[in-house]
Amino acid sequence: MLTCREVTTLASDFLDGDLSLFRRMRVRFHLARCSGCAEFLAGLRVADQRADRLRQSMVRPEPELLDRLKSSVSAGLSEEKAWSVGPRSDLEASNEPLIEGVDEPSDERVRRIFEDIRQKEGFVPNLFRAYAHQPDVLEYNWQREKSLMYGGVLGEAFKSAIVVVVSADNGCGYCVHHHQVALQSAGFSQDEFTALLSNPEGSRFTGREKALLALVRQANRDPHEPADALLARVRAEGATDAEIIEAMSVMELYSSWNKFLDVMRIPLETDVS
Amino acid sequence: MACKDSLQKTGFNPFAKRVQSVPSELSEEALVDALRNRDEAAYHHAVEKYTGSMLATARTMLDSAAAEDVVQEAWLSVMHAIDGFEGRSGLKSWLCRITANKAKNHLRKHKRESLQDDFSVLESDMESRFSPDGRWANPFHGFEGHSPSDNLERDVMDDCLQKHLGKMPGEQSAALLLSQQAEMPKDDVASLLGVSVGNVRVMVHRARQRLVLMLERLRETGEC
Repeated sequence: MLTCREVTTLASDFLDGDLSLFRRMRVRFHLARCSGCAEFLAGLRVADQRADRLRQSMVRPEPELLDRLKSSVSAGLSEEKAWSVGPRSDLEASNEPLIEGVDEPSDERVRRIFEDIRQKEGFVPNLFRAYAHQPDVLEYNWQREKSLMYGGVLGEAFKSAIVVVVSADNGCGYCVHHHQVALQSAGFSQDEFTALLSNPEGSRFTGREKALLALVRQANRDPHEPADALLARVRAEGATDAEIIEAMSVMELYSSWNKFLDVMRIPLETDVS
Repeated sequence: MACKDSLQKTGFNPFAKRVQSVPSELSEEALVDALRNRDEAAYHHAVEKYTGSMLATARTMLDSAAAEDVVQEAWLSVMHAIDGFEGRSGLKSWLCRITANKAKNHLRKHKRESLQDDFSVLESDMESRFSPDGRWANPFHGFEGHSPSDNLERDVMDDCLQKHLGKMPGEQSAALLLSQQAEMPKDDVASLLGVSVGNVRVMVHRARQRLVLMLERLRETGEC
């Protein structure tokens, strides 16, 4: 027969139905003969009932709390609207770029990099023309673009989708526009593109790609939010560590470019279409 | 043309489409869509509908004021996180999960001691009640067939209970109170608290033992 001490250790599992049939029978057998253990179980039940009543009583939200939550949610929404509808009024005063791009580089290294960019992209975007004032910065930024967007393990169209979603969240039309063009050449219709922005979950990408999109989107929007669940989803969909790192790096690269382009007011090239 | 202008020029504003009214009875799917569209009325509707459950989750770990703050924080992150909502679990359990994560972070930030390193099944005050052969040396009395005799006794008991739940180490009280919610199986409690299911079972058992010991002391000495 089980000892009283053993029954005491099993008591909660017994109450919650977490014991195997065999053990449950042994506990029942003991309880029928032991008033001390029956008392202890009764005590656990009383404790449980009181705690449950207390839990239920403490969770009815006061109307004031609901009002406070609603106004805080409304404030959050309008803040989001404010940065998503366009330039702030103080920016309207001038849309002139804060820095002119380099058109005719005199530096030999810059000329070589421009040539490389032209081969890959067809032209030299204003982003790189701005960076060209500092050849080291130009070189490593182009190197990151080249290795991430033209190499790596993820599909190019999918990476453009990451850029589009992240840049739209950051309010950077320059990057959205460039990668919209990339997506269109990968066969995305206008409607599909609009739908991608409002609900990436409904897009044509695979489950694994959608999970990666959700992860990088949250990482960009709210880096302090725990990403465990999103990462678990990504892994459950079969993504490799290399794919996770690459998707995160695309987000990281473009979110920094979004800021640079925005602050420096780098204009979109007139001939990009 | 600056960066943000060109976003307007491209004509793709992800936040442009917003519905303004929410019918009182809305399917969960339609509500999620409206939340994705950042529809203010939908958010107000959801706040009315789900705050109770979210508060219940937060209160298992935190006092009333902290729980309200955590629920507010949770609502603010919903508008970002909703795009990643997959609909596998219901909206309500998803919202409760966000709330529980926030509550857990809050606990960790405020450095309440953790139970992680103490997973013995019996409370130390229980061990001394057995004789070496494992029989009761000092058994409990008076729980069978007992119910609080009047409102006063009930109030005193509840006050004391609340105090003890608040003082339990780590997430013991959370394990107990979360498990009491019918819709929350122990696997879910375990993943919310970041421990194994076995650990949740031990935490629940330890919390109950503490409450039994507290009830006994209250009855015998009148002291909480």
